[in-house]
Amino acid sequence: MKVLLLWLGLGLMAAGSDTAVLVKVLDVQRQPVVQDVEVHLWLYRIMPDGSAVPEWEGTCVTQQGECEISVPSDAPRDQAGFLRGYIEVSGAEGRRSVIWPSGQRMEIGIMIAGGRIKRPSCGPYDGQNVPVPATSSSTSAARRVGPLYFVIAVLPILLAGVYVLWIRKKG
Amino acid sequence: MFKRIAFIILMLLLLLPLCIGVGQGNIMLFLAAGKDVPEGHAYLPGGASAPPGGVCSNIGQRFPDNPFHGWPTDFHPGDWSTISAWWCDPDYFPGYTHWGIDIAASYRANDWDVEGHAVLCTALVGRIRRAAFSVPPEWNSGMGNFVEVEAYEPTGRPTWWCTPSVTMIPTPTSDPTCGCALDHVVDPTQLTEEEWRALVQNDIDTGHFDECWQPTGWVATYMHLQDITVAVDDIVVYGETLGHIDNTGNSSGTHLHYQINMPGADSGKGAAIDPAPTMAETYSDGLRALPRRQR
Repeated sequence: MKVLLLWLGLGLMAAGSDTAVLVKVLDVQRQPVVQDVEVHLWLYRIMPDGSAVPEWEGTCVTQQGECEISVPSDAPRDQAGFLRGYIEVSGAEGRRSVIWPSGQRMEIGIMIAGGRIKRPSCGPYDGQNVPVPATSSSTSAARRVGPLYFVIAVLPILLAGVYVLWIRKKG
Repeated sequence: MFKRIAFIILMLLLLLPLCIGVGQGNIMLFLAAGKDVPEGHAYLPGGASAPPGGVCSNIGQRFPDNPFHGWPTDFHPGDWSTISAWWCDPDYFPGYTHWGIDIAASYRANDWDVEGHAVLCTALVGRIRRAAFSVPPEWNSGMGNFVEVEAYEPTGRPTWWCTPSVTMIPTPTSDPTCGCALDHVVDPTQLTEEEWRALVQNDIDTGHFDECWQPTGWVATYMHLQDITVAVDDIVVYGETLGHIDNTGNSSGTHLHYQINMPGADSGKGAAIDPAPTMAETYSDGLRALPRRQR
């Protein structure tokens, strides 16, 4: 009976949380932001069409510059088992993307500079101007409409006009 | 009246290919005259064509034939806190899809700036397809200084150059100078990185590299580099330094953009795939995948 309860307890623990994110918030002097700062974790649910819908997973408040957010075992992950999302810090603009394999404990440092989350990033290069699939997510990129779409849209109208003129001429 | 409309439609059809070309950003302006190009590096006349995009529905998908494995930088390999943007990350630039993975500073580990850190080859064996260094590095379609590595795989063909005119007996043989070096290895999965480098070097030294190794069509691109330490057509092996991290091209911070494209990138059809699953793997995983590639 005791063994059964032990296994049950272990099972419940495993089902509750299998990973966590330890966030360290730093200021521009690279010192921990020790006062209470709210940190929010969002993870994306990846839909079959490739769109991503963000889901709030948890919030923690820093003490001595860091705090930890437990991630439930049913948190969304991709087909390879990665958790993908972003972290927001109350009072600071911007986001910091995060990705890590499930089952691992993620430790991440976030630097706040000028009221913004500092984030090394790259600008787009040619060849990246491909739209992500349509999504209900507010963070999804807008679909781009090129001249081809315009031509495809106008061509049937022109053909219909020609057809009408031909009918009239024939009549 | 009817003839006039028919003429307009005909003209529209003639203009259609031009419209498509402009729409996809294929027209590039590039003035190459009088620029300082380091010896051994390809200049890209007419502009660099950027690797094509992928499909976000493949996010997190493992491709068994993907020959790239492991972490492409020499700092904190396997530390996911250094990833500042992932493949298809919706928090990338609005209107653009991020067809690669960005590796940058780790504030957790107090690595404030990773400029100058080495960028490493992630193919077991590869050949440099393009090594573009330009001044200013904003050229190359925003990619900055970049290196493209095409992964190679064993041909698996019988080799006979020990006794070509007599018996045509295929290896393996006890003579290590005969056949491909890999033919002499009982268990390739046990090779250390140093032994692997020596094995490939042996095929280069005997002049039989192209008989022992063949291109896979899979291409990895390493962008925004400070410098490039390899040249076009160089043979590179796993862990070899290709260049160093910087902020060149269309970039707003020091980072490496690492992108993997499927076969077909030459024709503009080799779509990018998610590098994350194989970045979680190691050199040993690459060795274990070798028998599959030797079929």
